[in-house]
Amino acid sequence: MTTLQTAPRPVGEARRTAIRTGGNVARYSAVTIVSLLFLLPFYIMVKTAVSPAADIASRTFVLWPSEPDWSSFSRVLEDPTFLRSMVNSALMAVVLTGGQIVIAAMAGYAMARIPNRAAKPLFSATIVVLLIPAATTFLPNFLIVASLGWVDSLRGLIIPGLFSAFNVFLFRQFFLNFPKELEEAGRLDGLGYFGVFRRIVVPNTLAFASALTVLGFVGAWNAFLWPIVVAGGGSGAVTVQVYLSSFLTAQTFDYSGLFAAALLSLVPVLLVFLLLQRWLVRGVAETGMGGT
Amino acid sequence: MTFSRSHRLSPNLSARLSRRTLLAGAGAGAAALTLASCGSNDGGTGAGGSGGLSQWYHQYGEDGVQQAVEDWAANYEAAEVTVAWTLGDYASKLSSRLLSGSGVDVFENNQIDPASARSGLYADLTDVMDPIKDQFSEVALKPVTIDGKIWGIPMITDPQLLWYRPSLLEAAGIAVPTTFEELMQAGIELTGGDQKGLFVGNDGGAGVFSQAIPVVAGAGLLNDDATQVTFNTPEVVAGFAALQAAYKAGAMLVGSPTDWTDPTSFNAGLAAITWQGMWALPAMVEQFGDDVAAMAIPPVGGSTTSAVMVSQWNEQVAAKASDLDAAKAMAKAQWVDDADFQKEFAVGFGFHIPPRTATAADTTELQDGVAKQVVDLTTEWGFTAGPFWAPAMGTALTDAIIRIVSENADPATELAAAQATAQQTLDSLAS
Amino acid sequence: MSGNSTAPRTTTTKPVERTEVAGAKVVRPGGVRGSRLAFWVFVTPFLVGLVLFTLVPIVWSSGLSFFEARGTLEASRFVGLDNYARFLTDKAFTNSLGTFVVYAIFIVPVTMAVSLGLAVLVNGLPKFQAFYRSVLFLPVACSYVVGALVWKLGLFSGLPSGVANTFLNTFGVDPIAWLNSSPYWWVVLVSVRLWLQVGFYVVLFLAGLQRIPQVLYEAAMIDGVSAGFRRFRYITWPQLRPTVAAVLLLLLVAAFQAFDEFLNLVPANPATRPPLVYLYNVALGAQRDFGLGSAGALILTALMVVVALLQTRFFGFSAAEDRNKRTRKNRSEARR
Repeated sequence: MTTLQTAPRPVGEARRTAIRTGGNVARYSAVTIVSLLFLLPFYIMVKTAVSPAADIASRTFVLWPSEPDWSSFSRVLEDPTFLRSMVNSALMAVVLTGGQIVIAAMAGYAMARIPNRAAKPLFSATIVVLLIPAATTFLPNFLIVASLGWVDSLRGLIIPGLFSAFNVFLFRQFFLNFPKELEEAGRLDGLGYFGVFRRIVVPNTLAFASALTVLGFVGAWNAFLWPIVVAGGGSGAVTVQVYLSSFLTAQTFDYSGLFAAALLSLVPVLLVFLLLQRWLVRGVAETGMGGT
Repeated sequence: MTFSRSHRLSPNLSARLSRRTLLAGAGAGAAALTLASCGSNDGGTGAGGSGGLSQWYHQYGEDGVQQAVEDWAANYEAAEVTVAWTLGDYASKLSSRLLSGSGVDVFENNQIDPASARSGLYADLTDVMDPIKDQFSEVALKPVTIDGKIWGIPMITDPQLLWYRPSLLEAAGIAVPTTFEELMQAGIELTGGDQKGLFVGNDGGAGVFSQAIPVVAGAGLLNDDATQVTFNTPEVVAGFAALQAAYKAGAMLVGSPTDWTDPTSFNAGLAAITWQGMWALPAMVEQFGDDVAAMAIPPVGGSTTSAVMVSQWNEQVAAKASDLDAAKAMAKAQWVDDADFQKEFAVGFGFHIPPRTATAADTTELQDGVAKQVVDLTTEWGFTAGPFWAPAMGTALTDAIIRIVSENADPATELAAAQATAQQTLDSLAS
Repeated sequence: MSGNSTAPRTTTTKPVERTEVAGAKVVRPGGVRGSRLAFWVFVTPFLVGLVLFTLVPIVWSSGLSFFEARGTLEASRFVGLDNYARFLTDKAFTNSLGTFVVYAIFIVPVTMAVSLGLAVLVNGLPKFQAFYRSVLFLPVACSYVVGALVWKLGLFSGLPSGVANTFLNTFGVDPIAWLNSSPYWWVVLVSVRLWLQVGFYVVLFLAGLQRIPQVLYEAAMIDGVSAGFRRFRYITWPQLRPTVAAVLLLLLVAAFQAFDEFLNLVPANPATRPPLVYLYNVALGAQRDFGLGSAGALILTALMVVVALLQTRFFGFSAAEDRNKRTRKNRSEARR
């Protein structure tokens, strides 16, 4: 009996394993091809950055220059305008992200955990603001910033962006699900709202805040619309994106230098991104977009 | 998610925490201070306040210009001048700054607009210009005159016209075109191999010919007192149809990494005839020596008008400048009094024509060869649209031509629509 | 004392602990006075910013939209609904809406399909999932400006040496001037956004996929439905509905606010001018008409709100409602 039953099974299993392996080969091939395509633009940037000027105007595609010229990077690093733009971008990204997180965490916590009659209406106001698409507010914000004299300054770049209704919404959601026992334990230890927030809530919020920090930093570093509206003249608050963009309308420009600059502009944000990517993926998953 | 249970307090911990709080507070305060000081360094007063003047330039393509203007500013003794060398979209950045009222005192501008003049953003320079008004040609004064007052001092005149390589035309057996239709035909015939006949912009000529074709068709853009839009005539329609035909026949170089303002494509032999500004003359001559010549845009159909399109940079003073008198004095010193600097600025880097006829006649580099040819053509056929040709009208017309050229739209309908939009804009300006 | 969590909050041992714990705020926990102060201290920075940089600008801009304001920030002449009329009847505005519709028709389904497909693909990998996910995610860190640079000058340049044209050349096709010919400019515009966005949505979908209870798949196996289209259609897709709805809304909103790549790749082309670029030109470009721009900003905002509300109504956004449906379904399936 058993021999009859077991005899066909090894063949069936082998076939299923073969199908699975074949499927895996197909899967890996597909995803590798897509990955190569996704990495192609980076390769183009590096290749162009080290190509001598003659190659760039050539009629045919050059796979890799015969004499790679790495001096474009040092050229760019010696350009004071580029350096200033990187500094401006860094200042803007760090202050903007940090400020956003702090302000939104405080407001979100208050709306979620501190009983007050104003909490509900305030939250409703936040939702209403969320409905307003961020990009169309550039004009009204420009009116305010220009009348305050903040055009072309870091203040004008950063301050309007510090108040993110989106972050407040997310933090409030997060704090609504925050375990009350911890806070109550702290309350029993004699802490007030400030103490509880500082000593209990904050240390336990770091992972979530990291996710928002990554998103915020990347968004701030790559921001284009607002910086180009507000800043960019003279010795003002040119960010690295505005600087790069100006070459697309320039009369002539140094190709390899431009791509070297573009690559260098990616370094800070890729670093932050790769280091904190883990938190971002978890954070995105946990905002409940998955549905549960 | 695990939560740490580190909330049990001990006296040591609490003491440490209160110290940390202090530091955090200090850090936040420091950040706020940095923010505030960063802001005021860059924004606020521009050149640092007391007695300083801020002078704005756009990013000139030629090397050496920035150095030259910074040197002049350093050598100017009556005030401390800081040069703001602006990248990218100069016009909108300038206007944002002028609106916010500080940080720009003296500036160049190639789009002086009536709305800004009337709302008091520009300082009235009539008193500075009146004594020397007759030293400028009519074309040079047109961009700076609004409502009978003068708002800027012309700095450099930039003629834009067509440039070609005589050897290529000879080799193909083509005579120098005398009409616009012949020009388009020449472009078609000169296309072959790696070379296209015409390079008039990546947009197929929409930008550069949007003003030129109405002018050489005899229609013009606006009537004399700037109340009517005049560019919708059958001759203009015919001109755009000819442009469309050349584009469809593949005679135009499009998709070049840099646009027509950069002579690199022409110098690399990618086009036989190109639209170009005089600023690129040195680069072209260096590449081709004698084998480069200039021609005005030839007339369309039965018209007898040719054109050389003129754009002009003018020095202005902001009405809200911190020290209005000092600013006006500086502008006058640089662009009225200092003839040597004006000559050097005009021909030392790229090539431009000094707007004052005497200075131009005095500039040796403009006295022979292609340069002289261009100066003469500009004197005879120079055209500028003037301040009442608002950018909105230019956009409406350019959009129409882009649709005609790259989407094969019907020239007549597109032009009619553009005229309606332009007239509407003109009417709202008049009030 | 401290162990009894059900004791009413007012009976605490406050007097003893107050001296021990330095730096603790002296307050009655849950007391009204303490909470009011705390609430306002916490909320004020955000509130101030909200008023100053959202409320005031919008009110001012709305007000300005009824006046003539050219080249100046202050209202000069009352014109009523003139600005609105001019904006709505401007052919360029209606064209920009058309641009948005065409663009959305391309970008939304394509992004959705590509990200979902890639997520399913990556999810099915036995090993190295994290590595491939990182590669796909990497471009999300890049800016649209950098993307535009590479796309315009490297990949899709009109010269024969561009990557795309070289690729076409191997098939004997003539080089195309991508950014200057219709409809090829859409290939450039859509592909750059795909590259920059897909990784983010792949992560979202992966999270959604990984939430699907294994039980469902095992039950399906027993029923004879193994991996493949049928399983996707009957199990995976219904479970993903809330994620799909969220992604759809995000994609639509992002498409409407498209600006960066359009301004850098095709600044002067009327056929590819989305609403925001048009608004930017009107208000801050050469025209500097703030009254008209303010009217436009309001119109565009209203449009976006309507589209968002419509979309959520049609596709259902509430995760809770879907969760209920799913739980009921799980229960009924488990019983089988």
